[in-house]
Amino acid sequence: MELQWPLVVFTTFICLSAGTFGFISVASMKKEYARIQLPGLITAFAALVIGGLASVLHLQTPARYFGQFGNITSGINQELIALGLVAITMVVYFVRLRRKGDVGRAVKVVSALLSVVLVLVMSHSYMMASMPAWNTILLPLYYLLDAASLGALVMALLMAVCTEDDTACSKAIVVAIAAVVLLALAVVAFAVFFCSLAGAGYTQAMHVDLLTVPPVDPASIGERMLSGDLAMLFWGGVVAVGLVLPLAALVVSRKAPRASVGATATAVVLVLLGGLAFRALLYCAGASLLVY
Amino acid sequence: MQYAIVTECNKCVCCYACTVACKVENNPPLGNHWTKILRVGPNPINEGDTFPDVEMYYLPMKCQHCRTPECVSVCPTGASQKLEDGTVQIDKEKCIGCQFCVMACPYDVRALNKETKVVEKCTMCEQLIAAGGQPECVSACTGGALHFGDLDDASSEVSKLVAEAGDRAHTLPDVGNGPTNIYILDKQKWRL
Repeated sequence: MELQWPLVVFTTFICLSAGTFGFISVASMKKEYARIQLPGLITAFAALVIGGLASVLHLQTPARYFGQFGNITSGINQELIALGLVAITMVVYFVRLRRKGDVGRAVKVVSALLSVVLVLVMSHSYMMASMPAWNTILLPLYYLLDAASLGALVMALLMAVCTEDDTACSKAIVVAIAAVVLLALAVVAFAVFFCSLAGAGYTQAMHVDLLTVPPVDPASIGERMLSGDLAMLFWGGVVAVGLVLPLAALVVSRKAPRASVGATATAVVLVLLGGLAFRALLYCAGASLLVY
Repeated sequence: MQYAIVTECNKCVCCYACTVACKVENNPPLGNHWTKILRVGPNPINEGDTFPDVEMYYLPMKCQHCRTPECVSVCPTGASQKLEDGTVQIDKEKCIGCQFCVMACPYDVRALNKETKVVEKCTMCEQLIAAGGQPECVSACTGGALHFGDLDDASSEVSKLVAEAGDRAHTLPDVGNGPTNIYILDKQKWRL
């Protein structure tokens, strides 16, 4: 399938937004994390806007969308509704934070729940029976853990920048390490799943005018990813850049989080890049069950 | 009511008349085809066989006008719709070019028209069938392999063909979308 960069950026930044919003909502229930609410909220909102703009870029004629929500149960409309609800909740959160200095527990719980719902709705819209490589429960699992990793990393970064509480900063780094480790496990599970596609799920025919050019067997995605033409994307982009290097950076910054802001910031960028690489891999694996 | 095209695969000689007729009638842009001919095989007749003990058949490929089409389910604006005659059509005034229908189609028969920025596919020549005619690919088929009619009408030519074919009548892989076009294959193993 042709790589759809706007959708790759959209899903990445929605994970960043939902993860950050969810984590600051939950973490700020403890007062030592309260100071990161405003910068976290701004980060989450900015990511939401970037993701939203990217999704609009994907549309060929976006102007026609307005006033034509003809099929409310479609994945795109559900994404839009979830995205709108999260945006409204962010505004409510911001207003209450500015007026009262903090936000009630109920709003924080709703914020965290809506963040999870947004990621689940977004991932569900890509689970299609036509695409065996996408139609797996691992897809929402990966997106949830990507959001959790990015959210935990942003929280750790903001704690290191905005507070002077070394203990709380270290705890935030530990949470980020745990989240990235879980993300790595999700990637391993996806790799196993891709390898299990070999020999099943696809049927092939050939274009009669391309007799000498056999189609790439989509079931070979596991082999291509591990040792073929996609090995650099997987081992280099997803594993090294997106998982190993950020974990190393977090381990380094754990001992002195406030003095290692650069390392934590680097980890955020690396996990973001790793997420982009993984989504690119998903598009490489995205083939219809009937291949020709 | 369910309009459908029934293909007798053994009569298809891959002459491309259907592809050309579709191009002339519907004018899809350069590079886009609403009907294509695929080749299935050559495959060994029995496991382990080698040439000349092989077999193959041609497969005219187009929108299957499914009974529960995924392309309609994922369309956010209702541009893709299932009509009362059973065909799946795209309202080009409503299409926003999100291409989720392209991803959701199991048969890769939808494509973006980069000039008009809307997704297009086989309409079963709705302009002709509305006037009591039949799709141009069916009219142009030189081998008489393509047949058009109402599958839900037991007295129609296509229903009789399918009934006679019995277990020789096949559909493309079904993942819950219910493809309606039928392929009849004699003497060979259906390999899709």
